[in-house]
Amino acid sequence: MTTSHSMPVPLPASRRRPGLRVLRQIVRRPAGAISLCLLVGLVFVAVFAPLIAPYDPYDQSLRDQFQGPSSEHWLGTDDFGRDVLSRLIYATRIVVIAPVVAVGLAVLVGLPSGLFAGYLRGRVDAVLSRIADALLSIPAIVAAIAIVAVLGPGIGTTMIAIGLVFAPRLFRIVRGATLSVVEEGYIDAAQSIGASTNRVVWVHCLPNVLAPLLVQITLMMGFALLAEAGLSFLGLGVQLPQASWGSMLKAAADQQFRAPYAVIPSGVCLTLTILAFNTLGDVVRDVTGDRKTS
Amino acid sequence: MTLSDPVSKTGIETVLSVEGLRLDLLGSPGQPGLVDDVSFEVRAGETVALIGESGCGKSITALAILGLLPAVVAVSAGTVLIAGEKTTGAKARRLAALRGSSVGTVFQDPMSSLNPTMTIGAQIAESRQLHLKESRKVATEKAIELLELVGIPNPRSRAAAYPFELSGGMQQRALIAAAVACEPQLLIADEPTTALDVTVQAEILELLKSIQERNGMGVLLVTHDLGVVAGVADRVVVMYAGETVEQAQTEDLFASPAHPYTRALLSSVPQTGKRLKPLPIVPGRVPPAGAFPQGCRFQDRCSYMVPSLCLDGTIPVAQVHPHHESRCLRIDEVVRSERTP
Repeated sequence: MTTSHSMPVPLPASRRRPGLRVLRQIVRRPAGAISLCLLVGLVFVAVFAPLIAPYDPYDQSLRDQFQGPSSEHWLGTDDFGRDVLSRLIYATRIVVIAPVVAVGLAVLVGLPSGLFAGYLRGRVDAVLSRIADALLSIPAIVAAIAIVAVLGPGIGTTMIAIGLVFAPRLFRIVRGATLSVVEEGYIDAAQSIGASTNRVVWVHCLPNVLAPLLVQITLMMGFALLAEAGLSFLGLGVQLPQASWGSMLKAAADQQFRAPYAVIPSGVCLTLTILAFNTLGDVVRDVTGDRKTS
Repeated sequence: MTLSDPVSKTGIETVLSVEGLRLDLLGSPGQPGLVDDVSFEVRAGETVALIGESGCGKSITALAILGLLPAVVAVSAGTVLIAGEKTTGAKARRLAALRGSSVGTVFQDPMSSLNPTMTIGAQIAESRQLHLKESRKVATEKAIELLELVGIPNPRSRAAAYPFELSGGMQQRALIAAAVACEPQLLIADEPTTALDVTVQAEILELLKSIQERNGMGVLLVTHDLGVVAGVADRVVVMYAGETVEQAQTEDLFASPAHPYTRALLSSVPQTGKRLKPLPIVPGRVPPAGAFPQGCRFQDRCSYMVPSLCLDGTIPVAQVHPHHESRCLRIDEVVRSERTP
């Protein structure tokens, strides 16, 4: 106190927004930098797929079935003689869009309900929590299959199904985080200056539950991708001739005795991407974790 | 004073009036109230200290005044008037409109009372944006002025700082700036200096005093620090086990306490210049809410207790002399013993 009164206090070099600060801290860690690069790279590939892909991913040539890697087809061809590399590249569009839409839907449903349940407690919380409990009692993949069965197969309905399955999980995390934030003095302080319920929830609670939420969103992206691949593998997700890593894996697995190496490209892509999501989630958790302890 | 008239006989505005306030824990019928029969007033420009041990009901009384009671506690009797407006039983929206504009609040722990994700300036500007409908820009300019007013150097860059970048004393200054942003008539300060070190405490109290002289607000100071009370309070309200037990002008109370509890509290304050002897303590503990005894609530710890007198019924508040009242049946004995040490 005495020092701060008597001398001019040096200011931080720049006043960064907290979001940027988190991003910088993520990039500073090798694991964070690598996984973030990989994911940003995927977005890049998805956007410029037509420019990068050497062939049309839907171009069939039954004469060129099951070719191994060559200078013409770097990753070989599949059961219809289509270029595997081109299909992988086009499939990244699904990889980029599916988890974002699915998790976006989960956030849309789970975030407001979780915030209000945690803040208002009482009857609102009881009702919402029981609904979430009921939804969580059904195994995720079974619930997703049931939803797809009702809505019909396709990538759109798959994303909706995954989003709905994740929503109660997200609700619980947000509710839990909000319950602890509500105990903080600044919530009392916000109420004491006359902030409305809506304002307290969105302006004062939300930013403070964002850290655990961000971790979960990152991890859920990985799960969503896995779930999309799983459903596509079962033939419920992406429909032919469109490619997804899951459906490519399925096609390759069906032919594994004729072309055993064919499972490798899509399998490796899937594994690496999910690994990247999970690693990024861990890094986000480490970076945002103990900020509040004083 | 009538309820509708905020101006008392003296012609000074009463900014807070608490009348016969009783708070009950929901779902425990038949129990004595958490807080019972609490009455006091705060006038413009005046500092009233609300004192008592932990668990006496000071903070819950302050929350009741603000209309921020936890869901399990309810006002079951009595009225609270802020600037002449009745707030007990008022609609939540009306209460929210009063908070921040008519009554500002400073809480105990400055670190936890500031939102770690918002800049200091935004938090001070918030109540002006809410109540005076100022734009973010105008309100932020005002916030910078307020930071300067509360004695924070470099107010412009401080306004853009986050709470963790400030020391505890500065955080409390910022909170005071936020509490008085809309120039409320009443400031409730709930142990504003407890979490701060002693030199900072004095600065904060001085700051409150100077703001009060500037805008003439009434201050309700909730504290258990008698040194603070002696330094800044005009009047003192002593609470014990959910009741007000004594009220008086500060000098009066310190000179001739008329309730055994006040007397015991005062005698347990260390003083310089006296011969070394063990500091007296008040034996025993405050009974927990729900276990209040019949009769006088201080009976177990009182050296003046007479079984035939103190163990039955409710003890009424009696006038010692005008502006000095005590909830004791043996006021004369207490006062007399004080004069012959």
